[in-house]
Amino acid sequence: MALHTLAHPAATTEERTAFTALMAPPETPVSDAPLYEPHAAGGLLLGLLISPPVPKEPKDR
Amino acid sequence: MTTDPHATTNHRATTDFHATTDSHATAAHHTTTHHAHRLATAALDWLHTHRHLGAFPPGATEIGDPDRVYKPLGETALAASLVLREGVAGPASLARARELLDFTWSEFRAGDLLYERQLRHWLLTDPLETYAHFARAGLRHDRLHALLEHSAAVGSATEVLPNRALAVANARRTTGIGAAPDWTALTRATWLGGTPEPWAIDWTTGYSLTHTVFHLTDWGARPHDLPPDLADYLTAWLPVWIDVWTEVAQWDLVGELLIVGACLPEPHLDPAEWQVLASVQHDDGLVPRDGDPVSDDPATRFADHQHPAVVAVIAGTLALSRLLTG
Amino acid sequence: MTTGGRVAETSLAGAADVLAGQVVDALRGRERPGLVAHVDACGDRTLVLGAVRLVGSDLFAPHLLTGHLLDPGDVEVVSDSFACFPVVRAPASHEQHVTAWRDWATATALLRLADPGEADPGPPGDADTVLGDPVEWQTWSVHVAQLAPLALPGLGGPVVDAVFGQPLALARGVTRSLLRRDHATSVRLARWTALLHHDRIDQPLDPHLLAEHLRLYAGTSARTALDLAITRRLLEAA
Repeated sequence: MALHTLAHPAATTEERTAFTALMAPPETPVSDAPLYEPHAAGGLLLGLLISPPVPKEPKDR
Repeated sequence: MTTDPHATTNHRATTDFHATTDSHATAAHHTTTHHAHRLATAALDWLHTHRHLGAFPPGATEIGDPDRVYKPLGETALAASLVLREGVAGPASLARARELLDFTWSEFRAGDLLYERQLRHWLLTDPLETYAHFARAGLRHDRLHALLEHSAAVGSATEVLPNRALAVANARRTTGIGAAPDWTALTRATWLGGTPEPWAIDWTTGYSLTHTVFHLTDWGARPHDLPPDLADYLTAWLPVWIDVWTEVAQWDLVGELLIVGACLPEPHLDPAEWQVLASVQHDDGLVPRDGDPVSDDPATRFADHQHPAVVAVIAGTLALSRLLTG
Repeated sequence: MTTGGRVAETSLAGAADVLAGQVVDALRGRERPGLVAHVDACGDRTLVLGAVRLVGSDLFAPHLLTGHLLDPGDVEVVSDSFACFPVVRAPASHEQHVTAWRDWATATALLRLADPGEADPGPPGDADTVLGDPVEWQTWSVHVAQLAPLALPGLGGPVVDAVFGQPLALARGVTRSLLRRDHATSVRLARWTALLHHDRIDQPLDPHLLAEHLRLYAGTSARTALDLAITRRLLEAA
């Protein structure tokens, strides 16, 4: 493919940096993996043996 | 709150134990052995040192909230029974395990408390499930045993989560009570038994799948009882789940997933995964349940982190056992 | 990053989204202005040429997937975009390797369409350099996601071959990204699972369920819509 050198603007350094960053988008830095969430029927779980320890309050993180 | 993934999980160092070359495998083997041994030994020490924080209040005649003292005592007994069953710990650890078993048994008044609970609430299964840990270590309560045999004969299977039904089946197998159940039907009723898409899982389901494996394999004693398709499924996805919940510092769940790895027919024991859990263990042996700050109050520390300590003892013990004996 | 850098990145990403939306329209058979008209209509030529480079080979997804014919003017627009944002000749950083591969995909797609007789440009390196070791599937799969514009039918090449050889690492990567709720990465990886399906390569998860899940949960940005539209086309064409 012939690369033209026509009268088009050359990108600024900032634009080039931004371009390179967008070309290789990183994964999200912070995971939003599923954590403890009380179920509607939570009361029925009473007496579970070796069950997950239920945090004192739902965590919102 | 989350932790920086690369600071804590050492992704770059993750290698599949079985995919490495012989010399690497030997090094990985040694590393995992080291972490598993340290994790289990120190967590067992911690449980032993602080065991009285998990006792019933003096003079208590009722168990009160079953999640508060009763359930954790049963869990500690489970961990102790597995240390004794596997016999891979050193003499000091074996002695502590024996003492923990005796301590919890005496808290249950040599089984009378379980017997009375069963007598009062005859369809509950938790007395059986708790009793099984002691039966595994050779203890017996004749009158409770008779109640349990009667319940099994009546066959009133109260409605519980499918992995709990497996817990009952395994407890009966351990105690030698009742006829053999339909393991296949019980297994296929669980989340794991359906081998769903591996991303269709949440935190609670993560615990469900670990328990399906624990009960099917009787805590790693019968790895080949795991159906081959489930073993393949777990081999494929366990590394992902461990990675994902490691990144968000869910140490208790990560520990349970490491136990699953030790229960597979071809165990999954990745040194990098073990290294991460070992690295969060405190000097006194405490294993934090998650990434939240750990309280300074001894009673709160014990209440919050007793479960991950039990998990760490079981994980380390079973891993060590598989590494030593295959 | 400086404020100016942030503005540049936001503007470029926005321009690329607008262009991606037009490719989605084309894939869905809707009228669209065409690349040349779009570039001419845009006030900031640098910005729009940057967008052309970013969307890259995906500009030709409608051609490769649904038989659109190439407009000769498109070749010139792409050439201009390569001049405006210079080509990486000796990639050093990971980002530069990714850029080189994505540019290679754009050039290859264009050549296939413009002059099927001509040989492909040589690949800009080996697959391992840009992807890393598949044993480290966490990192490897993020790199595979960055190279989603290579997941087009008939493009081929060393990266495609490498991904085709690692269905488990790919499946683990997309499972991980889904559980981390990193939908942008998931959508890019789902595209690869669709390409594997298209090329009848066995994989340990269901690409149809994955695509449908992401359609419902991954949001509605134009970039996401484009990856999912390509995914769907690949699955339908299988």
